[in-house]
Amino acid sequence: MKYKEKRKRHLDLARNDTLIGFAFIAPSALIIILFMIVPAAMSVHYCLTDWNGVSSSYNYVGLQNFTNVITAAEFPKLISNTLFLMVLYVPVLNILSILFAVILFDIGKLSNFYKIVMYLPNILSVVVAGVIWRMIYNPVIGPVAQLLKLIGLSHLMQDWIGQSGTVMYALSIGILWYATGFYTLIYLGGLSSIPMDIYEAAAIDGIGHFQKLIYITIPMLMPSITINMVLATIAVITGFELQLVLTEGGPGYASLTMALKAYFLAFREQRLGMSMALSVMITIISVTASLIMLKTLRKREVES
Amino acid sequence: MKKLITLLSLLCLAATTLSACAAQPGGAQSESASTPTATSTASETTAVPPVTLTMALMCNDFYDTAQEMAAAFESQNPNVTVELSQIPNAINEYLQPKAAANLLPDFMSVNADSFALSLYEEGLLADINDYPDIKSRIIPQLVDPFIAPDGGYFGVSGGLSSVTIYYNKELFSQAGLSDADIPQDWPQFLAVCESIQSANITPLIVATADSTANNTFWTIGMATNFSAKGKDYAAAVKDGSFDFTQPGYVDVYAKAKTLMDGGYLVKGVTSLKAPGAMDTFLQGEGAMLFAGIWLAGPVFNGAEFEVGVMAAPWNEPGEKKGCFLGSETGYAIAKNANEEWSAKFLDFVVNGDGFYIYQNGRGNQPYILDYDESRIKMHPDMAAYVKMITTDTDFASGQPPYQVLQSKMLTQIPTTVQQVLNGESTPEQAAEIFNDLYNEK
Repeated sequence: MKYKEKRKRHLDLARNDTLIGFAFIAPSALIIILFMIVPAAMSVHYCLTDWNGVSSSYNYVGLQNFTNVITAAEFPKLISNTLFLMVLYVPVLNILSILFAVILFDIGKLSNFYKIVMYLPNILSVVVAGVIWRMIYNPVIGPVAQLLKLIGLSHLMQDWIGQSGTVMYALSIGILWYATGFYTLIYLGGLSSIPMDIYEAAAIDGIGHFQKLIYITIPMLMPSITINMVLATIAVITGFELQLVLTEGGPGYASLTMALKAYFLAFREQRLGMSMALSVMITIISVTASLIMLKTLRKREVES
Repeated sequence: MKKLITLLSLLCLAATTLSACAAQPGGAQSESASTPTATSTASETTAVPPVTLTMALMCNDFYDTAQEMAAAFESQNPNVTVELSQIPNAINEYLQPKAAANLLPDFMSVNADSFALSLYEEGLLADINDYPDIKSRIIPQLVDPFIAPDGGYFGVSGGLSSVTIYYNKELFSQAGLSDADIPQDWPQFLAVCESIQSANITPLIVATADSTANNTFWTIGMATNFSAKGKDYAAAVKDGSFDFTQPGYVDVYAKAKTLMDGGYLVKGVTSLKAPGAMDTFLQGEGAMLFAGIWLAGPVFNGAEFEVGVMAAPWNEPGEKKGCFLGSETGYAIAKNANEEWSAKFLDFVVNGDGFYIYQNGRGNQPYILDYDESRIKMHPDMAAYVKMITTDTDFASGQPPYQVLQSKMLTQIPTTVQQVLNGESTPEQAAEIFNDLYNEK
């Protein structure tokens, strides 16, 4: 009896603790459900309609929106631009961030100053960052153009964001400038969790800096790498603010990504149904890419 | 005790969360308007109740003027508080989510386009026909763009809109040109561009990274190739019968390509937006600026050189010139509990001091009949230019695309122009892309 009473009391306490826990997360969960889950579910509903975003009535059109999105002239460009950013931007961003983190971790004096400078762009609004880079890239009155003109090299100035061949690289530089600080900080956090005695032992064995980076630092940083790769992938697939301010997807469709096109469909072309269809596709791609990345990188974590 | 603390904590959390949801839609103003203030005395119970008017204006180039208008209205109506917001991006992008949530501002900027019409047809905008004192003062040609198919009048024009080519007289002089060399047709224009280029000066600055391309290349091209030849393209486009692959439309892109191939366009033309184009011109980096007359104030006041204006001569010799006569961004009032006061502000902007504050700040073409000319501020050259294009029989006017095309088409004009300028599409291919979108069901 005593045992049964004790067990019952233990279960009651556990249930109470669980209920209390749920109760405390309930407000946040409610916000997430109301402002993220429900709108996402509604988008799956609206993607099957011809809703224009204003009208109180709409018609169901089945999968016509998906067909229209996929058969649009610019769709191949949307895919290729989004893939470009995923394949180029995500690895380059993470490589740069790791390098900066490793340098900042060991730099000693003024490390805090450098950390602040690295992170400053990320404090700015994305719109401000876009306006800054529009000014920098202006081939006539921008600061780079003026400097080149001053030293007699104005012929070297290109319209980096006005040419199809260079706009994606110019955009990537802007994104890298803006985002590197954030990911560097995450890597700095990861570096601080690596036990120093491993490096001391490596130093005693005569291992050089580069070998330490490859065989110790990066394997031990795998959890941070996993987080950053997944976050960066989701950010590049779903983000559009910098593209909107800097290039508006131009020239032509040269820098138009899936997320930016979804925005244009919704708020410039009043074709919410098509925008939701594209958003559903973006979600599927984003979730699939994240799951594949998590599975692959988690394995590497375990191996490390 | 633990449960009591838990319950109290939850209530606090919920209260904090829900307090952020206390929205103040425009229609709710009537509740505050009808509630007397705490300091009301018996003698003030007959006073006009306080009203807060929410106002969202596209006033990037005249924010100070907009604030002055709001302040002047408040001083004339002490019970009114105007909450002015500047629309940061495109009007439709700003208003659409608000419209979907039925939270439109009481008084707002709108264009005479299909989006504003859809707001009216949804019952979100008031019918200004209910305020005859306002409609009767507007120039008739500026009323028509805001008339709905059911006869409703959903917005008031903010001015007569057109485009012009501003030119830097100093740079013209450096190129050996004077006012007498102002081109009257397309071959002459190309010759002028060639002369300017020979003097190592950039001939023409025009923005194509935003909707400026719509108002410049598109409208002047359409007006020259159709209106000037007696063809009403606007009606054909609206009823779905226009063929965008015909030579007259292909020529819209072809002329842009000719300018690009000749090296007459400013470097970075495909990434240039209207503010950047104006700055580039004002810094003396180009001889001519193809832009709207709504920039007359900033251009004439901001230039450190003498500025002239000319009509864009896209016509062949002996043919009429095309010009663009449309409505500038105007105003609409929301159909809500504050409609009466919003209409009073609209009346202030049309019939009252608000008109002169607005006109003086922008230096644009007045949109009302019978104004006091001594109170108008407009550069004499611009006034003469507007008079010329509205009265000279050598000009045929065309409607701008936003008064004619659906939203999905408007965004494609800059895109197709950029593709032609960059050589990614031929003019024929660009026209075909545009036509396919037009015919898409």
